[in-house]
Amino acid sequence: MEIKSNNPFEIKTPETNSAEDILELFVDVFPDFWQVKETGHTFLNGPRGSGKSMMFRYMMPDCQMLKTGSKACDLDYFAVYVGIKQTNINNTDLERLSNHATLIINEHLLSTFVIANVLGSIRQTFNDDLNDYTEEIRRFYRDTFVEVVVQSGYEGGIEKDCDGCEGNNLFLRMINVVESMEKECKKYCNRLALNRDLATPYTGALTDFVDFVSPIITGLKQISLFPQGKPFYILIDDAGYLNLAQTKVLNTWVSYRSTKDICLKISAQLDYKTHLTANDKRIEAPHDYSEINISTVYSSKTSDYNDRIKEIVRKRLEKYLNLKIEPEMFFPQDEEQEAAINAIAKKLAEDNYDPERPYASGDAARRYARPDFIKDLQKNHKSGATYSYAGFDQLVAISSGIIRYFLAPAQEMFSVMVAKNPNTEIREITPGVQDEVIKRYSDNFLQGQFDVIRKDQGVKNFTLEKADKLYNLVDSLGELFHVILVSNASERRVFSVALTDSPDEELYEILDKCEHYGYIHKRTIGNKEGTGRNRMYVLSRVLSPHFKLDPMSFAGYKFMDSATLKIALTSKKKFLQAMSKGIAQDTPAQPTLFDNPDFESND
Amino acid sequence: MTLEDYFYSFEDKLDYFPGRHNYVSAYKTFKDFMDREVHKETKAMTLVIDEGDIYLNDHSADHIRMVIEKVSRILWHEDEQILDLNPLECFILLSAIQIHDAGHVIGGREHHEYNAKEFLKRYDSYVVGSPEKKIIYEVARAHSGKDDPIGKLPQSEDISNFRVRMRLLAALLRLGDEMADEASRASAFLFEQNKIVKGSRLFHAFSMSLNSFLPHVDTQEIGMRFNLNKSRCSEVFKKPTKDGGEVDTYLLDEIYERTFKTFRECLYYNRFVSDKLRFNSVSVTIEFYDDDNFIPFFDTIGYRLQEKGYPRLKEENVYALCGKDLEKDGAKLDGEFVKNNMRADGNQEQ
Repeated sequence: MEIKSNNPFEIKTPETNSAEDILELFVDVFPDFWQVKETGHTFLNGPRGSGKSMMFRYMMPDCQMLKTGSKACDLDYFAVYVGIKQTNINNTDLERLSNHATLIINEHLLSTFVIANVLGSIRQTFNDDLNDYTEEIRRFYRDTFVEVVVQSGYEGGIEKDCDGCEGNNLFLRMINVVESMEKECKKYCNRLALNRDLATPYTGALTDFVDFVSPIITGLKQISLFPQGKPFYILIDDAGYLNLAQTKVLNTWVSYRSTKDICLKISAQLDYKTHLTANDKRIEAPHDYSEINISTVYSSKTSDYNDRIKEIVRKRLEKYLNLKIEPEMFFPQDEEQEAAINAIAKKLAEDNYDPERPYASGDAARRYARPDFIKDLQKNHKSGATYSYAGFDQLVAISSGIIRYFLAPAQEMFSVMVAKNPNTEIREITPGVQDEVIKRYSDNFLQGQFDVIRKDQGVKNFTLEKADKLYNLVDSLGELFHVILVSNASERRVFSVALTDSPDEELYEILDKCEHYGYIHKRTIGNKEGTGRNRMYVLSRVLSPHFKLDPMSFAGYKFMDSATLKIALTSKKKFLQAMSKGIAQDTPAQPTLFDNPDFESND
Repeated sequence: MTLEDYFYSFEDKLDYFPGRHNYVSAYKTFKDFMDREVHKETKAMTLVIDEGDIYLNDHSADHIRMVIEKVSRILWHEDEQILDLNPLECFILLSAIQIHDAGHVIGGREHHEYNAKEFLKRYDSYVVGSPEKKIIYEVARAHSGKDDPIGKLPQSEDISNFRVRMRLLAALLRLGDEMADEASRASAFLFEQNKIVKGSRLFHAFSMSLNSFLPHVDTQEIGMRFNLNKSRCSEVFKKPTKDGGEVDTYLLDEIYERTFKTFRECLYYNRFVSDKLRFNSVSVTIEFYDDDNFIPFFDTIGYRLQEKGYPRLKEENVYALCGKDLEKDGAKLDGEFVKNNMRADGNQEQ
């Protein structure tokens, strides 16, 4: 009998999923990111795959109506999705506008793009149901839409009579007009690309937030289909793809604080270009907007990330495999390895028993058991044994707060299991397959991603030299943390560096890129003197298999100045030499909390 | 030399304009249209639209000329060069001056600044593109309103590599318009014949009494000189209020109020211009004599409005100044509020 198994961990683009699928798969993460659903502008930052688009998809009216069993007019807000990645409003021809009405033309393109998407999103959601509101839609068309389009200087001709047109078709008519306004401008930009002469003036329509976007949304809100007295949420996904002028325009919209009618929910992959507005003021959290950094939320101690992943896995196993089991059962750990680690822990507890310091034995067991096991494996590497990264908890820890970093390797693990066990129902992923796949994933995460960075160089003003420095930096940090893990230092579970001073421009840019590509995430910690805060850079736990680190225990951090860290940009060897003084290689492991001033515990 | 004369001097120097188009010629044609078709109708159309409740002071081509003259005086320096403005900026500013009040003709006095876009369609699109028209409209629109209209404009925008400093131009127009209010703007004859509606009579009396209103660029001061005769001085005017009512007002009290407004406009203007263009004080002189004998019937009043002492704000505390930034669910975000809403687990209360 052939067993057909849908891969439960398959990653689909949320925008293309049906409301039913989304509802079945979505795990409510809003308790962690409550600001997204609140009235107000919000920036949602997170690396690719951290669940931003899924959150936005879940907020769409079809999902919300299905979830609450209510009509659109009874929802708390009405959300429309505007994906920037799918657009070409940021095409290279627009760069030619750099000295020609840049802000004005880019605001027009963004305004028309947003409104075309708003109208399109509404039409896609309601289709012929719009015909039930024909009279109101006609009133909106006559009193608002035609008025603002004519005011914008649109010369394409707009039919004012709408008496014979039903709601759905009227929406289509409006979409066509707005898209035509957008195309008219794009054509002009294309002409500029072909002909450097700026003598031909742009004579088409020009729109903006104040005279176009705002009156249209405010007018739409009056239609009883939509929740009355509640704001429209415009979900602008992947805003990092906007060009600089468009980003400034969007920030200007945020600065208007028109949240009674329109709330902008803006997501970016840590690549949002600026927070300056068109008039060079800076928008700031919390008074202009609220800000969420998904990595920071999920790397904090209070996060419920582990529980969220558990729920995701439970839902997927049940939906696709009809399996009602705990995720730990589906991703079992390497029991032999765990037994060995437990034995070391027990011995450490006994060796460090001190009646005057009752915490010492447990502390030693917790701190050193796993590192000692890894060290022993390394000493006996000829035996071929290596540390296994199998087990649900380890896989969750490795995923570093990014849901995709869990799902992508899990998808591959499942495929490998199916390939190895044809015609068999898959009820678990064996530790061997988990370990094999996650190690490969970790290696690819560094190497594969780095190939992308090298391709990006030049395109994004990031030179090849800097790309190499970025690689050196990540490689050096990973190696340093491994050396510390297998040393006899009192704190071996180090996965972060805290800078005691400010990085220079080059280091800052490279650290920024490291964060953008997901190699590190940023935090701040109080400095040793208690007089301020230092920047802290945490290596992504996705890299722990690659660097042979313990993903479960990234508790400590290493203080250093930026001059030392800069050595890592060019030479791993020199960097490790510079750092070796702070690492106790020969000292017997006699733990005393905080006995090495170079290390701080983050427990 | 006025701003307009200076701009006209570039008629044969097309390298100074985008696409080498003749912006001077385009402006002249546009100005001619506005003079013939729009400015002279402003007052009449306002009377129709506002159903006779308002009788505006002069909004004709004379008022436009006066705004241009006041702006020119602000920009005028001893070397007789128009300070800093490039020819395209002159074009934008002059066009904005032309349309800044013209919206009255379409929609009446309320939000007239929003109606001015219509007139810009008269510009030859081959010469003046949509971006320039939008900039003209934005600059003109910022001439009234108290919701920081100039601050909302971009600092500058480039048109075919020519920089247009939108905020500077809007600030010049706004102050020039504020200062374009002198005796010549009033309908003196109708006033004396008591033919002006009572709600507008005070404003005409104000204009008639304002003898001179000039920027002194050397001392960075604006001078206002009034002459009040006995009749205007003793009349109790009916001043319309925002709620549709009216309040009894003496002209002198109106002068105090309006000079203070001028000073406020000055401070607002100062935010957007360079040091050398700023005006730091408003000097006011009010003389009391009748036109027939020039014998003072009251001692001259003189005062200078300027910032002094420690800066003061209308709002008395941070809550009043910052509004919703320091509110949550309608409550003040004060120490008591934070104490009562502290969370135990690191998650914000929802």
